[in-house]
Parts: sequence; C-alpha cells; structure tokens
Amino acid sequence: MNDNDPMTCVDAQDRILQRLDGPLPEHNEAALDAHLVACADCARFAEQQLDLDTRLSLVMPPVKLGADFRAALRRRIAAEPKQPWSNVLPDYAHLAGCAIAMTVTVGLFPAYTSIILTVGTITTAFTYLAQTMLGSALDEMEVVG
Amino acid sequence: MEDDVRRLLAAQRYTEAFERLMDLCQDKVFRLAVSILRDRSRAEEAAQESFLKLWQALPTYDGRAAPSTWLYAIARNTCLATLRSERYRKMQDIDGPTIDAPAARAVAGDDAHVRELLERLPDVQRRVISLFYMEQRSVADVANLLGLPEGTIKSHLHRARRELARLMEGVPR
Repeated sequence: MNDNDPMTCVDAQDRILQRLDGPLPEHNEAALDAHLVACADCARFAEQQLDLDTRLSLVMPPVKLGADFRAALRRRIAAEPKQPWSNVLPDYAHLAGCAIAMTVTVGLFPAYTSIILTVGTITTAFTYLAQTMLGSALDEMEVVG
Repeated sequence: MEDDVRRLLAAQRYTEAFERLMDLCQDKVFRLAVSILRDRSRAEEAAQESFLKLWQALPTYDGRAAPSTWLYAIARNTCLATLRSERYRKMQDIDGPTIDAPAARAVAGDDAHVRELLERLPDVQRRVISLFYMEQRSVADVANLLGLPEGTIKSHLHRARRELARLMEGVPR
C-alpha cells in the first residue's frame, strides 16, 4: 500500500495501537489522522484505546523494591553455608601445579636438581603466601552486611 | 555499566559485580516478578531468591549472554517455578470474578475494574502489558525481561489492548 491509497479500517486500527507503543512516522500520522476524521468507528476505537492507555498507566506504575531489600538479601547470603571445596581447591591446585612444574624441570635438567628444588620451593612458598593474602582480602570484601 | 559488570566478572571480582548488577537490575527483576506472580510480597521473595541464585552462580558466568539477560532468565525461571508449585496454586483464587456487560459499563471508570479485566487476559498478554507500563513504555526493556523479540512483544501488546477493549465493552467473543 502506498501513501496515496486510502487507509483501511484494519490498517487504521493497527496504526492506532502502534502509536500507543511509540510515535509513528510522520506520513503515517497524517494518513491516520485523515482517516480518523472520516471514520467514526475508528475515531471511537482511538478514543477508547487512549482512555484504556491512561487507565493502564495509572493502574500499573513503575513499582520499586523497599529500602530494606538489600539488607535482607545480604543477611540471607551471609547465612548461606560455605562450600568447603571452593575454599581449599585453589590451594591444592597451586601446590599440585608447582610440584608438577618442579618434577618436569628436574626431569629435563637432572644436573640442576638441587637448584631447581631450592628455587621451586621458595617460589612455591612465595606464591602461596601471596595467594593466601589475596584470598583473605577478597573474603573480607565478600562478607557483606 | 553492563560492560563494567562483565569486566568485574572476568576479573572474578564477584562482590562488586553483584552490587553493580543489583544497582542496574533489582527494580526490573522485581517488576518482572510482579508481572508473573501478581502479588507484591511474593514478588519480593522471588526477587530475593533470584539474586541469591545469581550470587551462587556468579563463578559459572561464561560471558555468552549479557549479565542482565542472564539474571532475567534466572528470575523468570524462579518466578515460573513458584507459579507451578502446588502450594502457590492453592493460595490463588483461580476463578476470577465474572463481569456482566451492564456491571462493566457501570464501573468503567474504576481502576479495580481495569485490574479485574487484566486478570482475564491470557498470562503472556497480561505480563507483557503489565511490564510495558511498569517499565514506562519501553518495548526493548520488556523484550529483554521476558526474553522475547520486540516484534512479539508488540504483537502481544496489541492483542491485549484489543481484548481489554472488548472486555470493557462486554462484547461476547
């Protein structure tokens, strides 16, 4: 259908409903307005829909949560049982990774075993300490409320 | 803001990501729950449950969907599970009031009447039209909350409006 074709009542009523969702393109607005001037049924439909739209917006305002929602949620989160494996698994993974790395390195360079073990142990201890301190800091932040 | 949440999740800064998501989405989640459960206190409970599930699931976020999209899916599933539960059904009055045409016309100006008519819509139409007004006429927001395309939302909106108008007039099907 092009702009010169007269608008049918079906199209007009579709446009009336679309206009309630958001503005129509200008040429559609003009065509719709012209149809409503000439068609009493569609004009009545438009008025009815506008009235319904007003009532609906009054009946369903944008509701919000109360001020105590977050506090209640935080209490609930704090009361959740901790998963023991999630706490110790990073430690085991770290130690296992360092052990595997040292073993592989010793296997590749057996002549430097003592140096590898010494450096590996110091590195493992240092990174473990860093991980523990970081984990503690994050745990403190995660105790909300 | 949503990019901030993604960045925080990628860095495993879950507490900050959680707080940001709450800032962004807590009222939308609540309104989604209201549109499905039709009861404020149940909706608040469902919203809490949804955020609790989100908190527990944060380490599993894989980045495929936007964090808010993921949260809304959790919230929808939580609300629909509540709806399906036997206990919830028993607490609801399934058979709404019958409205004859003269009574409908007499109380046409009554907001309670509009609410009664809304209850007579099919569930998906009622949810769409409720959210449309609660989300201040944003089709995009409604589509995101319900996980449906915008065209589908508009289609449901139009059908709901036509049906409400028909119910207000007391016109038989």
